[in-house]
Amino acid sequence: MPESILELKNISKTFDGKKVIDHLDLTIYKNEFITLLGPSGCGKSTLLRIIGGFVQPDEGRVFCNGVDITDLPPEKRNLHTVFQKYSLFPHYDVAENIAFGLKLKKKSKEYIRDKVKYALRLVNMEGFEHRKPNLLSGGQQQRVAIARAIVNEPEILLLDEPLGALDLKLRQEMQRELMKIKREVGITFVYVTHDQGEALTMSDRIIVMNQGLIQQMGDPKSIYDEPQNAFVADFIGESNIITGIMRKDCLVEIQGQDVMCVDTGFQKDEPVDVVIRPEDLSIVPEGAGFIDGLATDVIYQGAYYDIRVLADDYEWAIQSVNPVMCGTRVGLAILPENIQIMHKPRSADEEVIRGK
Amino acid sequence: MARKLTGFLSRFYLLLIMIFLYAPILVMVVLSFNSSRSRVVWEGFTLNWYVRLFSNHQIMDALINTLVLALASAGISLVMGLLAALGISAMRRRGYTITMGLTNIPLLNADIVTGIALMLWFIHFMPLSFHSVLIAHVTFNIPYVILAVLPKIQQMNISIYEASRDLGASAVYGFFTMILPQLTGGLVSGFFMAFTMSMDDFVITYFTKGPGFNTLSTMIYGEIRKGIKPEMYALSTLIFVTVFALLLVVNFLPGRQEEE
Amino acid sequence: MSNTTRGFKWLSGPYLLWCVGFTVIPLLVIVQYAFTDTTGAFTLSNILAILDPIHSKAFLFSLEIALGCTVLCILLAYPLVLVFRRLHLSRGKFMLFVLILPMWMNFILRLLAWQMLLSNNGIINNLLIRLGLQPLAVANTWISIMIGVIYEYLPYMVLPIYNAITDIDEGVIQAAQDLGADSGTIFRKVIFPLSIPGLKSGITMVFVPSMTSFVIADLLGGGRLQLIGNIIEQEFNRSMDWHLGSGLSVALMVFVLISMAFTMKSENVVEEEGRQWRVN
Repeated sequence: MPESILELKNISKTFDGKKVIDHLDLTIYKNEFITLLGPSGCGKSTLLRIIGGFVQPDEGRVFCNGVDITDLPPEKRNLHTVFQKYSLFPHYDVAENIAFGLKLKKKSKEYIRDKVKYALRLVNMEGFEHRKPNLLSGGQQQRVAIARAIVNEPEILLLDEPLGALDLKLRQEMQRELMKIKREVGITFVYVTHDQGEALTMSDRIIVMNQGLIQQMGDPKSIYDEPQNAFVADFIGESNIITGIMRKDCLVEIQGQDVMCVDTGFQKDEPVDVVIRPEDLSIVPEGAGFIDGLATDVIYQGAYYDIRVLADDYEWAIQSVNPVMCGTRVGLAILPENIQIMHKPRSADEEVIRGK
Repeated sequence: MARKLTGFLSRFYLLLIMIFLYAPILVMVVLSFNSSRSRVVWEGFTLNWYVRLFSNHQIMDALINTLVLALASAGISLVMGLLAALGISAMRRRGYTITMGLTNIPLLNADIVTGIALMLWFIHFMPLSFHSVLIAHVTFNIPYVILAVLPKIQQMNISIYEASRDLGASAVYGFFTMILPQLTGGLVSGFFMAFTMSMDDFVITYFTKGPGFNTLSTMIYGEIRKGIKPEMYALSTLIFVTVFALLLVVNFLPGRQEEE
Repeated sequence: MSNTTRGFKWLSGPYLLWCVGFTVIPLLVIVQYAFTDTTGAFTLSNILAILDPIHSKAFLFSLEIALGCTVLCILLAYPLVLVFRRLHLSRGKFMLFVLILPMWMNFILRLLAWQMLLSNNGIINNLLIRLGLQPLAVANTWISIMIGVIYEYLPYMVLPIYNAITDIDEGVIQAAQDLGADSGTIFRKVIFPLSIPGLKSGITMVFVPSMTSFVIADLLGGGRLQLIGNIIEQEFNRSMDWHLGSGLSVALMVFVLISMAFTMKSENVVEEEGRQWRVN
């Protein structure tokens, strides 16, 4: 059982009458890379700011190592934030920026010099000590911002969409770099992003949030392979989500066809949401799959073809390494273990049901 | 607790500064309704001064001079300052430094030196009167327009002007449809600053006006020894209230929030 | 810079002509007056007249008033700007509004109102006596001149500092807080250093006029206390010695230039930063 470092208990926050976080509980463990993932406005950034001390929750408490820190101002918390806009001090050079927190703690000159040097090496920015922030690129500024937080040896590093302003290539490079830094310093990272790819790549654990509630939490693989509701399925990667009827255990009716699956525990003839990933569908000759349809659109994507197949009134998304001719009739096949069955929400409220 | 205390102190300090800034104005407003000609003693409420104000030709002439001067100098400064700012923003480093240096001279120089220097120069070729004062006001007003407009030019999106030229617009058409609208905020505040500075100027007007021409400020200054006519208090109150109302409408009317 | 905008630089032509005609030449003219006597012969006596005891006394008094006014304006301005920031009045133009509005009550009348407020049997003393307190005796002293110059020039200190401070990214302040800085430290290490460009322009806008404002000294100093501006004014309007007046003006101008050169040293850097859009 891993040791917990941060506990959020029953946190609620309302802005302008809108509930941003709704009675949320969360435990964060030592040394994990945890990602808060969700669309903008889902409450993930507010949650991070509550942890950082920049926002006071209306209800609930925050505990760090068992100590209640809810009322502590940010400057008294032993956790540091890397801001989306970097927020480097424009009047200080890189070394002075990094030394800021250490100087406030009245560390010795030698200690600060060694620490700054170490931090610059950690983020691959040696030789930039005396540059002013406005002469650095976005990626370099973000490295400095990370170094500035890490030299203070926080127990937890909070990262608020730190790569959001960078272009795709740089973002991927920085992702690898962040994981390297995380391994080296061995502290807890709490990472906020709306980019599911980023979350799946880096995290030990992902918390998917929507409308102030946790939708699902788990390791990247379980989030991707077994989304627990339509929101998660839709938000994480592309999915075909279609209404089906559970005939009995391990048998679901999709578009009038009975298909084998592996899910159990549903009521007989219960309407369900069926989730199928596009890469799990394969194109087979007409009549050989569980359903037939008309290929309406085929786009070459480099590693695969993005194919749309219209069957009855539903347009299936398929990723396939083999092309088909647009306008031909094809069949679709699926392995039973790749079908994910979910209860239908009974009301709009339940659409945002809590995870386990 | 500490947070409450600093909150209270903040408001208290703000109140003190407001009293400091507005006490003399309150004095003038009160005096404009005082039926006594004496400065300090309150002898009852009257609107008399407001009535008599409009039949006082001397004050009316000075008021018209002041307003015409402020409008004309702010208008001329606006056009010249806008063109200058556009030019400055397209200059290379050296031209930029020199021009900005010239622009800073009237701002940095003491008003009395600017006024005297202009006067000594004017007497070589023109009589001191309305026109000399106008030139003087334009001279110290242009820098305010440039300083208000230049940052807007530097922030503006020049590519839409280029796009309009690319699509066949003439330079003039492109300027009026693409560039000018982006600078409106800066132009309005530049014009307003210039107008205010012109209305409020005493020293430079005093040295460049010559005998016989008066603005409100120079007229009042000349009357100090004889005693200020209470009509002046009434006029100043009217001007103050007008501007107050105008600013209130422009700044706080809902739905007219400038992006600035 | 792109081709389409390169031609723009000619637009500043009229302004540059104006600058030469009404900024540069008048300064040359006043310099000419300063270095000549009534016969037109070259002389240094007009400039050196600043060392004359009466003149140097007025000059030193001006310096004291200007330094005092500048320092007090700085001390008043920072808390004011921070209060505005704190009370979230920084949005919109409220600050500008509050500070500029008094300018619309006529300059001379504003000062006359202060005269009435501060005089020995004036409004403030009447109030103090009614409250059973000791009346003030500030009328016609340097204190009332100081109040006058602070009143007139405080807005010129507040506005540039305010602009500099509202330009600071909120994230930078939060970052400092996040790294362990309390509010005092945030002010010393972040807000104050980033407000220095504004402070510098505030100093230049306040120091010079408060040194030379002869009307304020005239009306609030009771005619006994003279700033260097009063001396110059009298040379032009009473003694009619324009050469001497010009000499003192030029001496003043040189002094101002030198002292401003010290405060403005890094101004170019600031101006450079504002010019980024032209760098393609």
